[in-house]
Order: sequence, then structure tokens, then C-alpha cells
Amino acid sequence: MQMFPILLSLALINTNASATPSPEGCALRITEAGRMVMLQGVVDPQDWPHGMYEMSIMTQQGSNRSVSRQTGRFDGSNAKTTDGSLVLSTVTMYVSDGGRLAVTLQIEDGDRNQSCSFDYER
Amino acid sequence: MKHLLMTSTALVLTAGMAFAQTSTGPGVNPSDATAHSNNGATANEDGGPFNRAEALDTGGGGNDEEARALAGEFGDAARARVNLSAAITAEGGVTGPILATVAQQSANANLQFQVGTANQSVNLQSGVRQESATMQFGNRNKAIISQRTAGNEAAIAQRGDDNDNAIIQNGVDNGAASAQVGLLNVSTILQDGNDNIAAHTQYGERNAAMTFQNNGDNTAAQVQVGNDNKSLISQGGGDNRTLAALDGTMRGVSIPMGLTATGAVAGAASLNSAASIQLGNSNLSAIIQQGNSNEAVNYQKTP
Repeated sequence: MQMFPILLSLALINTNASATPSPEGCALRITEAGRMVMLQGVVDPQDWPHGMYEMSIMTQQGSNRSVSRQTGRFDGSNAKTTDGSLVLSTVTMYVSDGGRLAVTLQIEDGDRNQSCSFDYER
Repeated sequence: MKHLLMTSTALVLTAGMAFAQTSTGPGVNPSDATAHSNNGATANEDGGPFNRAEALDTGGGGNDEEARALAGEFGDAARARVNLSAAITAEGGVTGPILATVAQQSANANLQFQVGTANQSVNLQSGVRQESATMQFGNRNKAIISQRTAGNEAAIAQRGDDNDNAIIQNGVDNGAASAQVGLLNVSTILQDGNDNIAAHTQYGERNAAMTFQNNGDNTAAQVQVGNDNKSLISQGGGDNRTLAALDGTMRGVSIPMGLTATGAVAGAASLNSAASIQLGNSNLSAIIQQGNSNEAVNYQKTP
């Protein structure tokens, strides 16, 4: 299984950031609006027209803890972003200063599988 | 003086019959608590905007359910709402500018918002078209949402300390909203089937609200204002039932200690509706309905 760790440390408020799909077609996108952070797991439908996914997010903000795990099938009926990527899962979190997220997206289709992940700290 | 209404026995004995509806207590306004099969259940403290819970369903099947829960008072409130109609949203919010919405989408979507210390929030969703939102303001609050299959929606809003909230839904197009303001309140909504809808509102301390709905198109609404109130609505779950979250965590509902029901059994139940209001302290209630198209209202108030 191929891993694509990306470390993002974003301290600015009211900024937007995104990670475009990797050549292999699995990516995690992040969009900031103030302290709200939206994470999307996406795939390039040319590489992954259908399959299964699991996206997990572990959050630590001071002593607050949250876990979000979403799984399901995807195919051409999923919503698409403006660049044509399929949206598999969306999670929006409030992230305070010092907050940390660890995000992992795993996809598989038959005997093919892939994962991508990144850590985020405000 | 405490007014205790226990609708469980009567409803168990009349399982399968329609339109068993009761209400009691001083100052009861019939419009404050309603339960109508195939239409929804509502519970409202006093007709005002706060401390109201509504589980609405405009007809059998379909994607027309809506659950709203608003707890607290002006300046100290929490709100949770899900809407499974055309514009599907799940949101949790508190009084003031903080409001979050999860829009309708084909992907699973989740929003988590925590402010305070030592809050814990778990979201587990498997399937498609599911939305959830959790908002926690305070300390040591716990919340878990688990949804599997398709089209389920859940929203939890907690304000205060040490509140515990669980929504577990298995099936298609179920909806649940729960709002808590105060301390040590426990809310549990378990739904297994399709098109069930439930709403819980708690304002006070150490209240426990439990709802279990089995099969389809059941509606339940509960409001608790005060301290140490315990309430169960079971529609198809007998007098106790558990349901597993996606991570294996078990959550259960049971008849409040001090009440008993004879002959209650779990089984498929559809188009039932129940509403419960508990105002004051230490009220106990259980509404247990079996079969289809039953209706029940509980109203309890202590000075």
C-alpha cells in the first residue's frame, strides 16, 4: 500500500488551502474558512471509477478529542468537484489554535488499494 | 405533588390498536404535546420557542422526515435539527452566531465542533448519503453518532458539562436530533429500520431520555425541563433494547427504574407516534407501543 504523507502547518486564519489529486488519483483536500476546516477525500475517476473507501480523522484540541470514520462505496454517481474528481467523504471541523488533525483515506477496488494521509496543525 | 403517568401498561395491553392517546397533569395544553400516526410527534414546554422537540413525518415512506430539538432559554440554548426533505441538512447550533450546517450530498458528510475541555465526539458512518453534526460547548461532554446503510441524518448539540448523547441508526432515511443544556443529562436514540424520526430536548440536570424505534415510519418527541426526570419511548423495542454502533459499542434503552411493564415484547412496529413532556423534577415515564399506528402522549409536571 502506497502512502502519501503530507504535513501541513497552517497558522493563518481566513486562508484557503487545497491538495490536488495525486497522479495516482487519491487525495485529501483541505479548505479553511476561519477556524472551520473542511476535509474532502477525493479520487480521480479515471483511475478509480468505483470502489470502496474509508476516511478517518482523529482530532485533538487541548483535551478535546473527536473521531470521525466514514466508509462506503463510490462510483460515477458521487458528486464531482470542478476539476472532475469524485467526492467520497466530507468532514468539517472547528479547529482552535494548537488543534491537530490526522487524516487518512483508504480506497480499494478488487485487489487494488491505495491510501493517502496528512497531518494538520493550526 | 408529583403527577405520574405511566402509559406503558395500557399501551402494552392494547398493542396493535390505534389511537390510544392520553394526557394529564395540571396546566396541560393539548397543543403542547401531540402524537399523530403518519404525521409526527411534538412536545413543547409551554408553547414558546425553547424547550421543544418535534419529529415530523408528512406521510409513510418517502424522504419527508424532519426532527428539531431546541433546549434551554435565550442566551443559553442548544439546537439540533435534521431535515430529510428536498433540502437535506443536518445542523447543530447554540444561541449566537455559531451555527453549522451539513448540506445534502451524495457522499457521507460530518461536522464536528468542540469548544471547552475534555469533550469527546465520535462519528461513524457507513453507506451513502448520510449526514451528521455534533456541537459541544462545555466540558467533558460525550457524543456518539453511528449510522449505517443510506440516507440517515443525525444532529447533536450539547451545552454544559458532563452530558452524554448517543444516536445510533441502522437502515434508510432515519433522522434524529438531540439538544442538551445543563449537566449530566443522558440522551439515547436508537432506530433500526427505515424512515423513523426522533427528537430529544433536555434542559436541566441528570435527566435521561431514551427512544427506541423499530421497523418504519415511527415518530417520537421528548422534552425534559428540570432535574432527574427519566423517560422511555419504545416503539417496537419492548421494555429494553440495545443496538450496536459501527465500532461495536453497545447502547441500550430500558424502562426507568421504579416502573414496570408486563408482557412488553420487541417486534416490528410501524407508523407509531409518541410524545412525552416532563417538567419539574423526578418524573418517571414509559411509553411502550407494539404493532402499528399507535399514538400516545405523556405530560408530567411537578411544582
